[in-house]
Amino acid sequence: MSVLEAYDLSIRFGGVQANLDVSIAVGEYEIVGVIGPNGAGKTTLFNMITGFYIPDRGRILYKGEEITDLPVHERASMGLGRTFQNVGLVKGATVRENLVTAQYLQADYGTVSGMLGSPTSVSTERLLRSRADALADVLGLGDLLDTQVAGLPYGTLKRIEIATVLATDPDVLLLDEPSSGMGPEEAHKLGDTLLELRRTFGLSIVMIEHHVPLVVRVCDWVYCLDFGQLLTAGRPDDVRNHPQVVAAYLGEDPDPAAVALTEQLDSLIEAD
Amino acid sequence: MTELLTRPAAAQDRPARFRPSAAGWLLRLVVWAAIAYLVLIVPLGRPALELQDFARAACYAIVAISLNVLLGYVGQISLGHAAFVGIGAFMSAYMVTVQGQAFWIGVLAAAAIGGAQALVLGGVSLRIRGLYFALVTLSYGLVAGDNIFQIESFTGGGAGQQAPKPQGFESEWRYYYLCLAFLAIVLYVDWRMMRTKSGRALLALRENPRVASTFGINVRMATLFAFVVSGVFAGLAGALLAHNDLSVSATTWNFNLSLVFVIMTVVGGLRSRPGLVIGGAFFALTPYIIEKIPGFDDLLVKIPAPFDLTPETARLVIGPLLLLITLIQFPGGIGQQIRPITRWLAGHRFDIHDKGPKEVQITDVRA
Repeated sequence: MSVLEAYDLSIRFGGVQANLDVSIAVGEYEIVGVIGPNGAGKTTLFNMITGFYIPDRGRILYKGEEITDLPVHERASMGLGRTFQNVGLVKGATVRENLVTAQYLQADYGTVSGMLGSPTSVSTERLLRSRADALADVLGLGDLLDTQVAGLPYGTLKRIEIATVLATDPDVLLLDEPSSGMGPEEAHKLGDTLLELRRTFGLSIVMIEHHVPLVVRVCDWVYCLDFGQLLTAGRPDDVRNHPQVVAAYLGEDPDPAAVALTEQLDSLIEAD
Repeated sequence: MTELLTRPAAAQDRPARFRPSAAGWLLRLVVWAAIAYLVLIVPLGRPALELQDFARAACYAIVAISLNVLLGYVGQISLGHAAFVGIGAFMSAYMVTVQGQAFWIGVLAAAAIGGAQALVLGGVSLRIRGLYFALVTLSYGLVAGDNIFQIESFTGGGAGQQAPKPQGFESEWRYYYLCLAFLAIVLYVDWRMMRTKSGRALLALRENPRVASTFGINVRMATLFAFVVSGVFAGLAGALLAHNDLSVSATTWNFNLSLVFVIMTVVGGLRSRPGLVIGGAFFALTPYIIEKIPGFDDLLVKIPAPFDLTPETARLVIGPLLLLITLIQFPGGIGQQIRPITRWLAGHRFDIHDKGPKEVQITDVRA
């Protein structure tokens, strides 16, 4: 059964058709990769699924419910969590503050009762803090809890970001280039982390990723986008060797007629 | 979530929290007592007229906290805060003098109308931000001064509205304590707010509304909520100021006052409660301090200036100078400078280099 389904999503920005009839499906406990060259419309697809853009056409279903027009925060409360390409964190705050802030929906007390310092709010706050600590330990961030986010290395920020999005208690995780800024070894460890998170939290994960070994290792299914359209979909190994995917990433072999013409011109120039 | 997250944190792995020794606590207690003595006992020995100045200092501190909610937490500037405060002042005076209600009803009404008008402006702020929003608040302040505050039946027109001191607090020193009590309540509520989810939501959305919304925060509602909190505090301060001066007149709540409010908030230090209180009190007491310095009055008169320098107008000269120093040298204002001391008083280790994990950036004070 699919947790997340998108049908024929299309959106246009001025003269650019950023997405055209893109359909994807994410099954329960599945890790789905979205690949494609720069500017293919991957992040746009994420923005439509999480609610930052409303598609011109198409529908998005989450656990069978239509969410196409819902605002971002409502989708978040239904269990859609996402990370950002350029790190979505409160940079001026410490790691712990970020983890506690992200548990906004789990803070189950009224605004006014919190402002007056009711016993429930105080005990809930304590629980949130200990959860933040536990989450930080899961992602190996325990030593950084009291460090300000701004100024930490990029790879670490990406891990903190995954911890914060986990703190929102999601069922489906949308990760936008989680391994960017990481070296090959770090990226490999990230793969272990993702597989473990799926096991412990029972997550479905959709991730935009450029690091091919990571995609091949962790993904159950891969979609490839190019120029806003779905190029192909399938098992990671099949998609990787798909001629159209190779062409989209590396460019096509040159036309033999054009090669002959260039050679001819070259020889003419040399003859001069 | 799984039991993984509910198990207690691995606290024993982390270094133990610093606890001061008995002597350390005693020293801190002495400093606390000295501050309490300075705030609670010393003013009692002063003449009644000066107590009025001190009560005003407490009210200005509330205004600074109110403006900080917009400037420090939401990141929106209000150049019409004098109108926010003024409308509360008139509301309370109107309820007490014209409607014959009790002081407490007047204060409640002032807080309510303060919150209501802030809610309207908050709605505007969802549409426009930055400089243009500052212009809207500026014109709101001017419109309020020229129109709302001229409604004869509400404000008493040019003559102003009477605002007697509440029953049981007729004497100056009792009223001073009343203002301090309200300041304490406002400080407590602000402190609680920033330690719970609504305050954290504000800090997150000020820095990055997109990220805040993925945390499940309703950015619009959170912004409106902050405006209401700011407006309620401002209305409250207005009511207290009105009854402190025994009357309210429309000319008090002008643009100059709005400027002083903004300057004292920034100079005091955004997001630093001790700094805000000191900043507010300092600017409320500037005329008083100038009068207390012998010979300063005569000196002021001799300074050639495009307008007559009096102790009241002097803060419009001192203020911008301090603002300049703050923005260039110490963006965190007084609060950032005294942070080692306030941290020490709160039972932490004394660290002269501690400027806080959330050092205020100049970009925070954006217009």
